[in-house]
Order: sequence, then C-alpha cells, then structure tokens
Amino acid sequence: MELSDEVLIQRAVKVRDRHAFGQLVLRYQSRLRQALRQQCGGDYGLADDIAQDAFIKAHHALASFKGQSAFFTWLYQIARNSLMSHYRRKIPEPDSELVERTQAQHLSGGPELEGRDLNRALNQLSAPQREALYLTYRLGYSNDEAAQLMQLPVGTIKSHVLRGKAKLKLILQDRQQEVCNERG
Amino acid sequence: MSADKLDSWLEQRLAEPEPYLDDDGFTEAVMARLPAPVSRRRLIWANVVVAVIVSLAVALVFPWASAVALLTSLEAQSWLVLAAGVSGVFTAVILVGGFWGYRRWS
Repeated sequence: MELSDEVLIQRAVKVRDRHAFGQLVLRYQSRLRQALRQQCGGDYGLADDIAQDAFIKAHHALASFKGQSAFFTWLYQIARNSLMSHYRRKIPEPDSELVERTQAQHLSGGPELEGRDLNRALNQLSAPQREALYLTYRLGYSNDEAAQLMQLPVGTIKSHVLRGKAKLKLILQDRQQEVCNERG
Repeated sequence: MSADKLDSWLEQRLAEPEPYLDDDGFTEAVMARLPAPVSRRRLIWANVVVAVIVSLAVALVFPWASAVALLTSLEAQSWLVLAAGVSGVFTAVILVGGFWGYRRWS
C-alpha cells in the first residue's frame, strides 16, 4: 500500500525516517526534474542540480511544512527560488552546445515530429510564458495557484498563457508551412 | 491543419503529461547529500560530557567560602528553596542544550 505524502512527511519529521523522505524524493523526482528542464531552457544538468538542492533544502525545512499546500507545490516553490537565485548570481548561461547535444540525444528516436516541434516552439517563448503554460497545462494548476507560485498577479498569468499560446500557434503554423514545403 | 484543428491539437498536447523520468540514481544522490543522523546514544554521551565540563568549570570559579558562610546562616526552608532554584536552572539549561543539539544534528 502506498503511503500518503502526509504520513511520509510525518515519519520523516517525527522519527527522522530517512526512508520515508527517500520515498518522497522517488515519488516527485520525475515531476520536478521535468518542470525544471522546461525552466532551464533544456540544460538538463542544471535542472537536475537544482532539483537535488531543492530536495535537500526541503529536507532541512520539512519540520516547518504545515501542509497549507500540496507537498509538490511547496517543493516546486523551493526549486523555483533556487533557480531564480542561480540566475541572479549571474552564473554562466546554460552551455548552448551542451543543451543542443542533450536535446538531440533526448529527441532522437523519441517523440514524434509534432512533439519535437512543440518542444522547440516552447523554447522560443519567454521564460514566464513557458512557466505559466507549464504550470497551468502540464501540472494542472489553476491561474490563482500559478500566480501564487510565480509571485505574479493573476491577470499577468492569464496574459502570459494567452500570449504564450498565440505565439506557439504562430511558430507552429510557420513550421507546418515549412514541413509542407519540404514534402513538396 | 486548419486554425481550429491546430488550436485543439495544441490544447491537447500542452495538457499531455510528460513521460516519467527514470530515477537513474537521482534519489540515491539526494540521500547521500543529506546530513548523516547522529545516534541517540552518541548524543546522550555528548550531553553528559558537556554537563560534566560545565559543572567542573562552575565548581572551579564558585566562591565556596562565602557561599558556605551564607548557607550556614540560612534557615532550612530558605536553603531548600535556594537549592531547588539552582538545580532547576541548571537542569533547564542542560535540557534546552540537549534538545537544541538533538534538533540540530539528528
């Protein structure tokens, strides 16, 4: 039987059960790493480093987690803050060569053409547009929740989502045209 | 693909859950970076050692002569109150220190 997040957190805090915390890491590692990969513009190494740091910070602060939000929401906030401070410290931008190589490895033989096109198009959006779309569509957060996570007004989130989608459509239409021309 | 079809295709693709990322040692790496828990036994011994050292230091600087003179001049009830007060403060300090140490290092 799978234990709930609440039970695992309680065990990790009250009886210092490392295994319980390990279960939480295992449960959310994929979701968090995927979310961060979107925010890191494809630098998977950076995304994984930030995800690791986020889990460690979460472990230190677990006693202060009172369950006002879902565990993943809280974790995502920690990871997001880490990522923001990483970029604020002006650490070199993601290694573009590495990013391209990693993306090529990830995409080769992987998702079909449409999926690849969508990923490319998503990478052309601004970071807030990409994050707003990711939070509301992929992670299923409401606009209010996304606004809270991104520390922006709800109206701005709605605008990021609408403009992001409009931009995606334009990019994909252009791509569609290119594909048609290629096929002659 | 028409604009409407593109729109619904986009909505559908955006809402698609992403594939599960294999752990590939990620959890293990996180667990390895967590601070190692301190055993209760070690912590208790550390507390005892600290308590003994503090007691010796207090005993060395304590003005025994004047304290004995003062204590002999006190009535039994005041003596008991004073003893309870001193031992209470000492116990509280050790307990708080021990609890803080447990929270900090375990």
